[in-house]
Amino acid sequence: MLGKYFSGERKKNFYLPGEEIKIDKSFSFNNYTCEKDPLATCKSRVAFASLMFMLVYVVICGRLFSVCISTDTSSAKTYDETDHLRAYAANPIKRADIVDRNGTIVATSLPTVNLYANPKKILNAKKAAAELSRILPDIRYEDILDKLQRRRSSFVYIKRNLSPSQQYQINYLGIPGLEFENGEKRIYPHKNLFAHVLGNTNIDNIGISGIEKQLNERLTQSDIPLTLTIDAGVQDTIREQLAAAVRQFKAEGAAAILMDVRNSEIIAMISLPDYDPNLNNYKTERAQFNFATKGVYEPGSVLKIFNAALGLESGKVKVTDSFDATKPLKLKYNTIKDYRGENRWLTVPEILIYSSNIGSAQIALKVGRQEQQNFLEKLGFFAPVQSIEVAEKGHPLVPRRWGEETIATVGYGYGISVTPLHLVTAFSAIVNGGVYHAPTLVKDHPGEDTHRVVSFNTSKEIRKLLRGVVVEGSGKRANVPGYEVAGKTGTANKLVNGKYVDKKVMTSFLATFPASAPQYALFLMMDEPKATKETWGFVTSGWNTVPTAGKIISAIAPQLNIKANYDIDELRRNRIIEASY
Amino acid sequence: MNSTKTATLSLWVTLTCLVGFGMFVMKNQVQNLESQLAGINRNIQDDIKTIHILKAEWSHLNTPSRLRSLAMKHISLNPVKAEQIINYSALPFEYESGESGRRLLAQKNISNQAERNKRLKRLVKAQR
Repeated sequence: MLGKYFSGERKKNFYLPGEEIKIDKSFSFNNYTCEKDPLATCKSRVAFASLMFMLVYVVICGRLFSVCISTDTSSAKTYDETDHLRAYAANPIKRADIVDRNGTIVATSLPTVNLYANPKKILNAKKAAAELSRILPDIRYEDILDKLQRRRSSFVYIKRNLSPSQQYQINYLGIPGLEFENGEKRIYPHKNLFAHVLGNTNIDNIGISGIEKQLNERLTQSDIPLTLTIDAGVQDTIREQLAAAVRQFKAEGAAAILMDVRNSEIIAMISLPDYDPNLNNYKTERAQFNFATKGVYEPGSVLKIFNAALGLESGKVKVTDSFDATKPLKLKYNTIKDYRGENRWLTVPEILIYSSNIGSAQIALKVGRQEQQNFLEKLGFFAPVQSIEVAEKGHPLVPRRWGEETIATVGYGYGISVTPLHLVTAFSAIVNGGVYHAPTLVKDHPGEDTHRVVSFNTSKEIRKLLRGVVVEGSGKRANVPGYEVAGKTGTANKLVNGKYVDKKVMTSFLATFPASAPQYALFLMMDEPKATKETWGFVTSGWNTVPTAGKIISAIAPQLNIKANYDIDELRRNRIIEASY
Repeated sequence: MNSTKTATLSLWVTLTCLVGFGMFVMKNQVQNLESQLAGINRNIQDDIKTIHILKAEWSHLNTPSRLRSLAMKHISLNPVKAEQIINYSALPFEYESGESGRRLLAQKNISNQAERNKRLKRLVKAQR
């Protein structure tokens, strides 16, 4: 029966409906005689057609299977979030927090929403701009309109870090082409307190200064909080006292570093003036400058500590040796004088107590150039401190020619410029028993550089000498009872246009406490402190940084859990006990 | 077609249908679970964000400078001075070895002191 339809209308014979169709072998189309059985042709055609249909169904089945059953990767990737099917929730905050040694958060990222526009999709730019400028009063209508009319671009930020209510209102407008993007904003809850330690990030959350820059990779790769060695409480106490001192003495700036001498962990690091990293404006150049790690200056008399240590370590100088300080020391191009000289022979302890330039220069000259250079290099004074985890590192200024003059001037702290961090690290090495540890700001940092710089006995001698300076020398005002402060002051004239100016000074104080078993080293520096009535017109270190250091030590020592060692008399002790009732 | 062939064919067809249906049901369940999981994950992420914000706020409220100003306002305490911390051995009391004896002595001394203070107060009153 099918044969009729397959053979088509070309068939000559005509059949009535219901008539039996007879197929004879001599059947032909247009004089073409078919050799094979026509029924077989029909059968093969039917088979072909049904095969095609089956193929279609197989394809449909296959597609159904692939859609319903198998979730192949190509379809999963079309989701905008690749972690759609994770078994756990990923942390939505990408940049890791920074915490202090007690776990207090000092830098964190908050989730925010950024608004961007696709100008190609915006239908009525003027209306959209008007509505947006109503909701975002801090952006001008013209600016928004300008952005929305950039027909060529398909992505333009309108505003970053929207508030939730702003986001709701903009969403409510329902303008096509305005879209939101999840973002982050770096927040510093302590404002100015860690400005220079932590640094700052730019608008794309990439570190641009401080730890944020130096450890940018660590902060972005892992969401485990980064623990610092800084103690927020101590940092705040020191900053408060230092800021008060800066106000009192009308100083241009100041810096302070508190370091654990046993492992060179930095407990507090402050540079004033500072700035609020949460705000993007109101930063002066000076406020952005981290003096503690980047400011190189001639430290003056505090270098006499290292000079004395060098003398004792070399074996060429003994504590009991005395040096002639009766008259200024005449060198080839230079004459070395003392500030308020004693004009007599001085022993090594006296040289430190009266801060004699002449005596120190003589010690340096006695030891000689080679040993002096080697010693200063061991203390790290010739290279930037690489181990510190802030991006700002100061390169020391070392004299190129190292003649007799240089030996003498370096002996009492001129001619070589280093950063406060260099000084306090080297000082820690001298007082802690003689081992240099590379300074660090990060807890559990891998592999540290340690080497011996002086012998244990030299370290002990130097501590005794420095205790003498505080008990009867220029550091008297830092002699906090109970905490055995030992230290050395330094007042250096500032170099202005290649000339030393008398009135402008940089005053420094390096101290350690308790002297019998040092735990902490404190460095204080003030830039151009002015004379006041209380200081009797003096601008030397003993009148500004030393009393400040005294206040700081008496405030932080109980915080640092240092056991006070008393030598107070019976009467006073009784009075205290009476008072406690 | 004989009966065994028919039976085999029908068995295969039934099995295919059953497996297909089973697959479909399972797939459906998995999809439901996946959407649940995605929802839970989204909630967890929101919670993480909230906790994060609260932690930041906690840190902001605990800034030492703020605590200092609050303490100055509400508590009449000063920073501890070195002189205020003393060893037990530095106390001007009689000393006796042994834990219990020491405690008893301390108690006695304190009560003695308290009595003395009372006497002093009475004296001051009498003077007035």
